[in-house]
Amino acid sequence: MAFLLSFACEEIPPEIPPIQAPSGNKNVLIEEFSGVQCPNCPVGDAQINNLRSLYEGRVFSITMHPYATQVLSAPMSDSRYDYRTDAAEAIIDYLGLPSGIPAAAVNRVQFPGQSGLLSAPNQWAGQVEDELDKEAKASLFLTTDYDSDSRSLEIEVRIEAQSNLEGDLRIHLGIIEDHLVDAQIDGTMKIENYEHNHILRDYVTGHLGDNVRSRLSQGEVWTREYQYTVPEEDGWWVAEHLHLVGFVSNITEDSKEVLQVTEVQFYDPE
Amino acid sequence: MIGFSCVLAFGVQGQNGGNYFSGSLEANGNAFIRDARIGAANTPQYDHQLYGADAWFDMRYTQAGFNVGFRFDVFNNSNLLNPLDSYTGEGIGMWYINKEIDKLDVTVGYIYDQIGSGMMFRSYEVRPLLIDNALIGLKLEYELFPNWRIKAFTGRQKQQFDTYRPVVVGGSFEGFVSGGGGDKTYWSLSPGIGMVNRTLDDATVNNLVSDLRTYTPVDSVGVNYNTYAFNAFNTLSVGRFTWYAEAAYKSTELFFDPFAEKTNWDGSTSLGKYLSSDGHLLYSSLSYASGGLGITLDLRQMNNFEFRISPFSQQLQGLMNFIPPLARQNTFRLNARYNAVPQFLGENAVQLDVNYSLSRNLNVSFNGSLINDLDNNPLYREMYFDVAYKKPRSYTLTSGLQMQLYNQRVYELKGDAGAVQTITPFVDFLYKFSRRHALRVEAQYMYTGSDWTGEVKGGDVYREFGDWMFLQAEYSIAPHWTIFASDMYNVVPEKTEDIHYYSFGFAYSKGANRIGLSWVKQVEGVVCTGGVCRLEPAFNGVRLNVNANF
Repeated sequence: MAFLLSFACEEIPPEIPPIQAPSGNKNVLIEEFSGVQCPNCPVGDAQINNLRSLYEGRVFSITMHPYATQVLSAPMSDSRYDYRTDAAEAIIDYLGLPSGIPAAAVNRVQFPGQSGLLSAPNQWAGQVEDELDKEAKASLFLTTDYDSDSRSLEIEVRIEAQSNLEGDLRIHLGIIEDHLVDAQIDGTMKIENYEHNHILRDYVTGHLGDNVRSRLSQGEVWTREYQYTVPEEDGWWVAEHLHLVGFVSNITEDSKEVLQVTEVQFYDPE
Repeated sequence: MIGFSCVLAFGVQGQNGGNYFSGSLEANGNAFIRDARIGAANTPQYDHQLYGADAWFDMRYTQAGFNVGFRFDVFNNSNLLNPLDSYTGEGIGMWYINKEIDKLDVTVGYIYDQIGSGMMFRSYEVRPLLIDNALIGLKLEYELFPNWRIKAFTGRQKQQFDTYRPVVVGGSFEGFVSGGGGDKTYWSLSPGIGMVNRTLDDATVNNLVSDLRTYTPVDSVGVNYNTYAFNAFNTLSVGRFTWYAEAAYKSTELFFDPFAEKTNWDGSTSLGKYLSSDGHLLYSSLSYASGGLGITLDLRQMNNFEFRISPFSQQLQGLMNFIPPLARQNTFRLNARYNAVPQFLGENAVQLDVNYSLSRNLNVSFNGSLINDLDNNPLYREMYFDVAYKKPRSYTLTSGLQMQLYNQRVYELKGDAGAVQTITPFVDFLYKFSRRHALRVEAQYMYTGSDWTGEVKGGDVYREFGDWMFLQAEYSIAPHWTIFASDMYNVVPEKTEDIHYYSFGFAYSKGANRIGLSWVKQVEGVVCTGGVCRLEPAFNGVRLNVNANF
């Protein structure tokens, strides 16, 4: 067999074509699990930033620091903040613990060849591409009204089914924060002023979402209003840096897929 | 809570002499008892599953020139595949049919084999780390001349109860010649050459292409379907000297370098990107044995020699070769705490091992190892020395000293860490009260925080957990019983409060059966089994092991 190979060692390598505009209208949610003591996690952050830049307005992300990843996510002695949340813990339990971090779920889809929903950064690009080429089965619209004085956030959610949907439909609303400057391990170095972005702060809905309905017919619209009081600014919870990420998921016997995702910056300096 | 582990093995000689039936059972069970203080928490096993088990039942049968075998594997809430998660699965983990037809030896099914020392290609199994990278396919071996064999194989690598998609094909040509003075063999040669090719599947390549498309032009890199590796090896024995040498080359392949600087689309840079490069490995082991003296000098250099079934495989999954640490494999608990995990992307290593018996009762041994990265930054240093005195039918006393430098920042990618330097004196005392009763006591003290090498400056001398003490007593009543108790204590704690990591238990052996039950509280650390290492989280709970052969 090796002998046969010696006659055939010239191959035509695959082409690497440039990025093209996606053919579908489905957006992508990357739920990343990370940690301040995780040396490879900045690789995940960089990949997310690249994908957000390349597919601007179509790719959104939530970075979570769970307790389950133990020392990798625990704050260091000189950390300003503890990014770990119960929500992150509940979600990593729900999606399945990875063998290491960074790891992320892309639209909570299990892609061919994967043993679970989470994968390493070098697999995200292909998965994002696949999802962006799909047609969204639901449309999601978020309207917000934020009062800077009371820090009260009014949210109106509107879901419109683009096809007949059946399963356990859920709406998820999370608050993320950008520009958190804090210590982070990067490879063999410690970066004192690393900028943490898209960090999950809290969920307006339950950690695993709120029930929408078990069935929505094509064209049917579902709405609900939420009220959330943004905690007082205390070094973080800076209103200018907060975003609301909303997504619809459909849980069936063999899927937890995110159907559509969007993000709004609710603070308006005007 | 229940914990259990079993190994059973058996063998039955057929009535007509030609057939033979043998097998073994190994089963391990763990009861997980949460202890958040040591980090034994926040996994499904500690949170709600509470129990896990792994078992392998192996059977082999030989008749009329046919060798057949199979193995049934069981994993229930197992923490072997991923120490942070739970894995459950069961099924036929291995089967094979082998037949020698004249000079042609044919095997189909699951193939465990290697070329040379295995540093270029090896398919093997390490159960405690759930490494099982058998090739599922066909292997042919043909005896061209007496002592000269040619071998070829093709297949896909096993992935638990599934297979990876890339295809592996390879082979080797190996022989043996000897000669020398008169009736005595004075010299011998065991030369060989080998080759392996791995072809990536379309799905894997498409995934890579998708990722590489996101690279900025400055980091742009191509990808190939095929990677080839070649090696040449030889064992030369002349008189009291034995010299094994191996050189291996791997053709250009895409691999992920976590330390390479990548330019992002927003102009920022980050660490970690795919690179494309060829790689090599050079290994030499020269040994001398005479009377009571044994000396072995090992040298190894490798550069870009990570060889996996897919660029997406991580940690211990998808390994296609076996590259053990070039350092002493220590057995005492504290001496084995810090291990020099091979750095596939680049290291230079040298090891000297000397063993000398001064008399029938007195033995001394020395081991020194030095491992640097390719820029000559220190990764690992070890100096080990022991003296063993044996008084026949009475006692054996072994005592010595080990000193290590362990670059934890590199080995465990703990960026907040530094280089741990240890000085560990140890003593092991075995006293035989009678032919049946014996007591063995071992003790070690690990002192950290020195700078004995002088290579690591100031604040970089890292103490990790601080100083440790370990004491174990083991009482055996031959031929059936062994009871033990041990404690590993964080004498000068750096990270946690002072915690006793104690274990106790017993083992019962009768015939081909062995049953062990123990309570274990174990600190996190790098665990190496058979030369393969993994970072293991802390464990707290009950373990039961049962082994048997038939």
